[in-house]
Amino acid sequence: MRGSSGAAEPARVRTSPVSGAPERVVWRGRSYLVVEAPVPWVERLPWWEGAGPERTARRSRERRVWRARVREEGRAESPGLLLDLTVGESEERWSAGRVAS
Amino acid sequence: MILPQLHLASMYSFNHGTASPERLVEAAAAEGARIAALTDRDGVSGAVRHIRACLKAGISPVVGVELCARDEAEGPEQPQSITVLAHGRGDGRGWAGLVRLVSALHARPRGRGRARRQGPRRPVLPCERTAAFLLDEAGEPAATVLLGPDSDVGRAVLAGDRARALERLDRWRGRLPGGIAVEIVCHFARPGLARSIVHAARMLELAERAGVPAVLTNEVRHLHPEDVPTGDVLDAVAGLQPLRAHPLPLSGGHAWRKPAAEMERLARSIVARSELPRRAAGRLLDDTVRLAERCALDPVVELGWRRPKVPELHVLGVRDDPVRALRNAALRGIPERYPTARRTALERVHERLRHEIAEIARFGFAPYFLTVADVVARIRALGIRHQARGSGAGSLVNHLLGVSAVDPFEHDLLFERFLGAHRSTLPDIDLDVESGRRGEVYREIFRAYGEHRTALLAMGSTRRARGAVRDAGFALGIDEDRVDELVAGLHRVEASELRSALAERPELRQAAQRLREEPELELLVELAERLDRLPRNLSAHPCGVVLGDEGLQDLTPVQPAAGSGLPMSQFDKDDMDDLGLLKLDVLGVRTQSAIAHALDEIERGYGADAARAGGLDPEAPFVSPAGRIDPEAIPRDDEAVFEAIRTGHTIGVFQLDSPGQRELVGRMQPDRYSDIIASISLFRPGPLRAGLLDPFVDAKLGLRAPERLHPLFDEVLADSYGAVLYHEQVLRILQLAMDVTLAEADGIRRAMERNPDAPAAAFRERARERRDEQGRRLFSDQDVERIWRVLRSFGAFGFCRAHAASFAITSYQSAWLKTRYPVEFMAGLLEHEPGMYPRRMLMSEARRIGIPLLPPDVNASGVQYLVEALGPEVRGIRISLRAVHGITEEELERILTGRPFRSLGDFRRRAAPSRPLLERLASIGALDSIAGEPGRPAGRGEVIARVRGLLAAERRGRGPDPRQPALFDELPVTAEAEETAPGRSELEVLSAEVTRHALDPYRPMLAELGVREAAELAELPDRSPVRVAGVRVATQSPPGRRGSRLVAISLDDGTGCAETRFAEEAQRRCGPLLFGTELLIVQGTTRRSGARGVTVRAEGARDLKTAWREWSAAHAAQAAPSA
Repeated sequence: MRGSSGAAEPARVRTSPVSGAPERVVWRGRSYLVVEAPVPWVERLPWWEGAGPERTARRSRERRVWRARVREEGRAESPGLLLDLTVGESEERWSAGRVAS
Repeated sequence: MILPQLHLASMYSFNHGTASPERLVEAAAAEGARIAALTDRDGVSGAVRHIRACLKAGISPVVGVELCARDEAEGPEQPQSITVLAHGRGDGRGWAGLVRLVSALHARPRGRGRARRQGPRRPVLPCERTAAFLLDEAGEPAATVLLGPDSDVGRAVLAGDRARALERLDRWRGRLPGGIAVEIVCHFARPGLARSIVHAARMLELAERAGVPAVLTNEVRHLHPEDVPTGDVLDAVAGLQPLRAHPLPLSGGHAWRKPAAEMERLARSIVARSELPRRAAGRLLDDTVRLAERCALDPVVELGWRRPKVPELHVLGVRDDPVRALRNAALRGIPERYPTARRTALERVHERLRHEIAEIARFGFAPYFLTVADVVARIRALGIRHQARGSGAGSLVNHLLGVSAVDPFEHDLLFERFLGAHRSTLPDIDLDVESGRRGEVYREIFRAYGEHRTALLAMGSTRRARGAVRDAGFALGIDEDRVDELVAGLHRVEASELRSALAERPELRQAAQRLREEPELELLVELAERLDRLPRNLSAHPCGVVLGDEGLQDLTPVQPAAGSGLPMSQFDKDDMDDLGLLKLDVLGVRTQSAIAHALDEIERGYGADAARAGGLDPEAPFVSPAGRIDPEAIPRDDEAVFEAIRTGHTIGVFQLDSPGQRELVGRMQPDRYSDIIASISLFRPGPLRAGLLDPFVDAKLGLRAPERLHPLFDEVLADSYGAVLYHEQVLRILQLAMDVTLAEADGIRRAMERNPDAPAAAFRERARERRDEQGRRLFSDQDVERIWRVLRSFGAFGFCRAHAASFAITSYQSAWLKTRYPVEFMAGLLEHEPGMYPRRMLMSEARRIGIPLLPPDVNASGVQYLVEALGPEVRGIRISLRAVHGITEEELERILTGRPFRSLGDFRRRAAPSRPLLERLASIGALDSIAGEPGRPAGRGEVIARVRGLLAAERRGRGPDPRQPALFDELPVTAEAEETAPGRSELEVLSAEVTRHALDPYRPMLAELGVREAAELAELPDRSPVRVAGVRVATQSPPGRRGSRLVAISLDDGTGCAETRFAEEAQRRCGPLLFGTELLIVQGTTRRSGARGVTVRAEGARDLKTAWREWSAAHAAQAAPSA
């Protein structure tokens, strides 16, 4: 079903200095270019789970996600992929998951 | 102009929004907005608060509602969500259309026509009906409907069905031409879901294409992002699913009030995501502002803000000028209220009446007074006891109109305390009526003025600590039993004070310990604090009724109240002042019902002999020839009554029966009516905190000369022994010291309530200027400072004497009845159970007085507690059949119409009680009179055995058969017959012991342990070591003066109540026993205060049953032969 992502794996992402949107992604050892303006969205996380200071109602936990259509660099004829590029909650650590189509 | 937010839910969107309307407006004002909106779900109960806050902030209010609507032509598809914003048209049509729409929304029956979208069932309105409320005769819209992401248009866009979206949009335009806008919302939901940026962009494209204005909102339900988890908890509670079962992905993370600048950026982002040119963002923002301006309300014009609206004069039967009609009605009351007044006194009455009428006319409140008098006349015509309470008792007009029985001259009560100089809203008059007949009063008010002028008052049931912990526990999925343990003892605590209560309150020590030991419960406490004061739902106020003119339902939406089904406004009592509606608090007071019952029983039982039976003069003018007593006319100086009050045995006496009050009257030894008023006024948190009680009592008893404030005030302070205790005294002192009118003095007093130092400079200046006739200063500098010091501290503890004087009438009447007709009065108390004590305590009090309590008897008991003559001078109280647990109205009816019953079998056949009821009746002796034989009454065990045998025979198929009547009556007593403990059965079936006190079985042990009876304590010297025992009947933990908390336990031992006090050390020593044990033995020392005041300063306590087991075992061991 379109809209659900596959398991996310670490990725390296270069973003636009203006909009902050991803422009280039390195994922599974391959380099991809973002070919359409990515769609930003926000994924909320269950704040009531876990233990320690993380388990608090003082704030909502969420991750920023960009749904991006990418094409492998140097392979203009490739069909392209739809990826959800997720920024970690508290640090700039990216992951990518393929969106089922 | 700052971009306004047009779609905001406050906490009055129950179990959805998290911010108060006031805080949302503050945020708008802080941002520099000129307009602020509120669009709660399914109602407008927060709207008046919102408008009030807007007026305070100097910005224009917009009001709307978010509701579910269904297109009937589409069949049973999921209802859509729309938001309706009332237009500010200057003619009130927008507001009226909105509230009538909301009334129509709630008028539909439950079940059908309700939606279960996102949790709880919500009312649904047919789309077709919107036009009836939102279009005027010229076809002009009185409101705009926002079609947002969950509208049928929004859903079609989400589904990618552009044609269907356009068709639905056209359908809405056809319903409300010129009254439709597309609502653009982006919460950055996952692509493919509503409120994603793509969805918002497609919605905007549709609006542009269709030429319909689009407005940008953020569907706000929180003030800050930090409030989002609170919203999740509310969703869990509303959806009856714990958080772990929340449907994913979680929504609403961005539904908070974003600043205008961020909203403008959002507009640009949405447009960038669309196929529209950049300038579409500007148009979106402009259209949003334009709609906000169209909807800005002028509350004065649209709602008649603060303008009184009462039933029209013709409804009250008044054809005259209202002021003249009021004056004439009051004049007619003079001969009745002051039948023996001579010329000077009458002149005083007429002078004051002129003054009050002039003031009432100046305020334009004559119709209000006429309305209240009309309501009271109707209550009186129904024969229902009533008494006004509050500052309204200070009005002579109210006294003459029959609204209040309190004579303002008798207690120097002031009209100005009721209707000061600067009042801009209708004053309050609260009416106490018999609790048992309050429903009749409501029905009469609705009947007399019509449902279009009358509504019940609403109140938001807010969460306090107990409910908040329960909801948080549910949301977190914590086991219900664990939550129950935590909330035990958590009464009257605000959720925001939960931590401090856990730290301070003795009864919460165990819960506090649990929280320390289980750190995972920290989140529970955190969430509970966040739920503080959030309303759970709207319910009918327990005693509030509002009256208006025939436009009432253009002003307030109404919905059927749960239970009664009567129309209930969505506004609360504070809102009514601003709406200008007349609110009446009709309080059901159980003591009034108890008094009414006692009066009936006196008349029924004694008839013409009633005066003699009460030890009264047979010619007493307040007793009718038929034996009916008029409590309003009884003498106020009956020494026998004061003597009874001084004993402290005031259980059942209105306002004087709490443990603290009983101790106080024992100390202060009241000997006049004004002492009762003082006692009621003194036992309040303010006077207690201010330490006013001791000096007052000492001055009253002559143990200490009262501090003389100034000779000029001697008369004012005479009946409070020199103390400044009442608001009315403050007004008199300010009047004399500052040379101001009483109305101005009331304004100063009210200012002091807000800021005690506000009038300081003016007071000093004016008091120093005061001169006598010779031009000498009336007050020295020292006088001025001393008077000001006393007045200033008064702000913390004053009380309205008119209010206390109103209470005192019922206090005195109940004390009088208890003294003169104790059996009938106790029957009234048992029937209606007023006050803080359980029925078993009232029975204990009856036993203490020496009144025989007669067990229920199917041939003798009625549906009420009735007095029964047992001999020429002996009367007892027959327990009501209605007191038997589980008895139904049908069973009662069959018993009453079927008696007398001749035998058990006869009873079983004709009264046809259920099997459990039959067994219960047998266990408490209600069948004793029909189970025996002539000359040989059956024992309790025998009756129980017979009933068991009868039921066993039925189960075996032997009956009941009318052809075999003798069979059941001849059943043999089986071997199982055994004597049961009557006290225990009675407690289970009647919630009280009738035939004996709970302590009776333990008396031998108590005697051996040297346990004192409660009745003896008053005779013991101070600091005597004692042991007392009894059944716990009340437990309180009032704050002490040094911040620590005392635990006060009242123990009933059948001779009275022993009042025990546990300080912190004793609390620690006793542990959980202090709150969880019903029967206690307490060891301590007496603490005397005054002639009859005595408490036990506890040092330790034991569970009486444990002590009994040990004692019994020891005795058994002693009795056993030595091996």
